[in-house]
Amino acid sequence: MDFHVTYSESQQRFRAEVAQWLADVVPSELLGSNEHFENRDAYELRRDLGRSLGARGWLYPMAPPEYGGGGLDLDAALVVAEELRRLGLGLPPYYDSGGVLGSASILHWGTDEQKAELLPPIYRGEQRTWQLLTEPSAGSDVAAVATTAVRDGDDYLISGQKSFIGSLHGADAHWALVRTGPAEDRHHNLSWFMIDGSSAGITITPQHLLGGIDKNTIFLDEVRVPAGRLVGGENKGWQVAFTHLDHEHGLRSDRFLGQELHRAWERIVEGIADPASGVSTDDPVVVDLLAKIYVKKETVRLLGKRNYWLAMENRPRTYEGPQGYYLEKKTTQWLASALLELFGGAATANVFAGDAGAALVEQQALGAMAMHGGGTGEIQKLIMSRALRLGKPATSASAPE
Amino acid sequence: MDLSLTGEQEQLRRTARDFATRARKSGAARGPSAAALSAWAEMAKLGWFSLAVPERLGGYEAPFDLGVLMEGLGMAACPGPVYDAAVLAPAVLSSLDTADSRELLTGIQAGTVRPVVLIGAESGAASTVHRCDVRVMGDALAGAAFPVRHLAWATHVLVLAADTTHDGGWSLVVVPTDVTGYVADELEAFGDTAHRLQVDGVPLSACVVIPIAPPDLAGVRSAVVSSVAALCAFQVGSCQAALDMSVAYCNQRMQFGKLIGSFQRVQDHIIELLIALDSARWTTYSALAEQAAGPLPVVEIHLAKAVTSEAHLAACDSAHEVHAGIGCDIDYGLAPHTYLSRDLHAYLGSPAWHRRELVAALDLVGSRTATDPTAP
Ligand SMILES: Cc1cc2nc3c(=O)[nH]c(=O)nc-3n(C[C@H](O)[C@H](O)[C@H](O)COP(=O)(O)OP(=O)(O)OC[C@H]3O[C@@H](n4cnc5c(N)ncnc54)[C@H](O)[C@@H]3O)c2cc1C
Repeated sequence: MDFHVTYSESQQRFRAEVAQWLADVVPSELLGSNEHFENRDAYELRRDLGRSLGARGWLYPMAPPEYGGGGLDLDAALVVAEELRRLGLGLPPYYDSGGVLGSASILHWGTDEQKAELLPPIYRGEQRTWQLLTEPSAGSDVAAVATTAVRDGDDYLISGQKSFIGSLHGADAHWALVRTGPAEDRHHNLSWFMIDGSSAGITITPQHLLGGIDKNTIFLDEVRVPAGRLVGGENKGWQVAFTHLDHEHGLRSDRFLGQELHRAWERIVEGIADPASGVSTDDPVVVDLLAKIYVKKETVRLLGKRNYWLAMENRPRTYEGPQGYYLEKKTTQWLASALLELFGGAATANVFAGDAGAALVEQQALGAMAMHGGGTGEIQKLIMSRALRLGKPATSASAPE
Repeated sequence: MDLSLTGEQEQLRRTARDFATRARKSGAARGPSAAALSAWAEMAKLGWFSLAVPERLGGYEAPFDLGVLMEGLGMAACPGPVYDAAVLAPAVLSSLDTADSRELLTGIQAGTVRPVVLIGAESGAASTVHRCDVRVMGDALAGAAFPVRHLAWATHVLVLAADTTHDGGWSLVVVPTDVTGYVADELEAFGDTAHRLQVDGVPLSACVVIPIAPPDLAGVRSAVVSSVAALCAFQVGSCQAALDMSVAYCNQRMQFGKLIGSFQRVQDHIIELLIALDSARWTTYSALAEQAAGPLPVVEIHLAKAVTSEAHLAACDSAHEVHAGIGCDIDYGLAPHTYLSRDLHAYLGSPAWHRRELVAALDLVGSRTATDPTAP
């Protein structure tokens, strides 16, 4: 067994090349900046960086080059992600949930024509995409979405309401799960569409969440979408959803790197060194708490590493994705209480002299919200239990439910 | 034994809850609007700022009723420095009992003085802010305190300041919030607005200075301890609100064609929430009842805060799990409780601090050495 990604000499040269290139192109405004609270200018800088990365094939480094991806192998792709992480940036360097998850589904389920049309704008960073699943009455039960697409000549007309969507500063496209068949044909009545964000009939109203984090409600009123934008076949959306959710529940490289929790850890280390924190590392309670935080974030990282390896090697997987995701959620929830213990009143208001403070305070909001997005903790447990066939007699057929 | 509330106490709790609900709806959480200030006057008129003031000083001290009041106010996360005005400032001022402190007590009871109390850990008392290093320097104040909540509401800041001009080493300095040198900078915060308060160069001539003689410092510390259980009661009210919202929601929200309350995993969250709530409630009631009955029940008070701060956090985390997305929407109504659960976690001492004080009060170390001479 070897836990290390082994870098050959040429890969080490690649790392140096990536690092040098990033040092040249990443604007200083983005270093240590928090996307959740950035203004439009900073967002545009992120998008510029995305386009620059895209032009080199580094925005989606493992995606096929014929569609604008980098065609790199896992080890090289990790180098790109790691070097961005060193600068406090993700890959893509902006919120692009519909791009990451939608492109994985399109690559798997799309026709050649669709791949040629829909993937390049994502891979090259020309398009930022939100994912539109949740509705006011369809959250965990995402198969119950009531937004409908009705055929009209060569197009579909889509109407309905989606909630908890996206982030600040809008999107160029929406990757949406909608109903195309009768309500009673559960799991056989759904379809995925890539909707152009500039289409008539889309209204976006902001939804303010805890800690000043912004999501949106999106109203779709007879939005006209060409039939070619339906991906994976009419009423085949439930199968496609598995590709989408599988990625969301554990196959992302940011999980592999334990990105979010590791960043929180770095800020904690910075925070305890800040005189305003009032934390003394001579205090055995503090020492124990720091050790617990480190232990938990490393455990999450290593389960993520296993999951990523399983996926990339195409090995059989059952419960692992939702397990890693669940543990990451729980750890993020717990971390908020650990920070209150560690920093006291300084955990809820930024009193720090250095840069770490704002992000430490934000952990309170992230902690309260961690369990819900991308499927609640219960849903992760449900998927694991099904994968383990708990409560199912050994002889019964293994048809998916 | 009788563990019930009286009819009057139930009524007080309901009135307080309804009052706080209206105050919150009036938008008072963002700061002292005209509506919020008239709500403040109403609280004074109802006598709520007199429940921590001894009769000899013009109030009608009733520790248990005060707790019941705070529980009711906590049920709707009542905005503003109500805890400072109804509990902490009166307790500290009563313990000093000078002409100046009496005058301030009168102002607080009348609703004309809206105090925010700043106590740092260095004083040995339970602290209300993360850091408070305000000092008397010649004829002026120097230093800062942070993070401070509710500052926009305050007419006066009561700060326990280091003061080497007399033997006691500490003075209670009452700083009007409109004096020169008083600078409040807003901080990025989770929850209610928070400030860093700077008082460099605030002239003492513009303040009331109440020197604390050496024997009186212990009295001030006790006054602060005596204020903790009512804070716990405020948190109990907030936990109750989290439970009520969660139960109502799980009996109304449908997913997969069922009420989510019928899912065992959702039931588990409600049950954890209920355990948190009841643990907080009964440790708090015990402390309040002992306090009403006799000498300061130090053990019960530390027990209550050690339990309640953690229970408040657990209750809100569980409530969020029951609600999922909608609970995170700040317009829904759970957010003010989530914010409180974090603001108050270390306010007047973190759970770890109270656990340490609890063990000290139990005198465990002493008794072990007494019975076991080989113990380290
Ligand atoms: C920060 C954040 C970001 C988000 N981003 C997006 C986004 O970009 N795009 C998007 O489409 N959506 C997004 N969402 C929505 C998210 O996917 C939903 O909140 C989530 O799927 C849960 O749905 P719900 O909120 O309707 O809760 P509900 O489904 O109503 O759940 C309520 C409670 O019931 C439980 N429950 C439900 N069904 C079962 C069951 N069968 N067994 C046991 N328990 C059950 C849940 O676990 C939960 O405890 C986001 C949400 C948050 C908080």
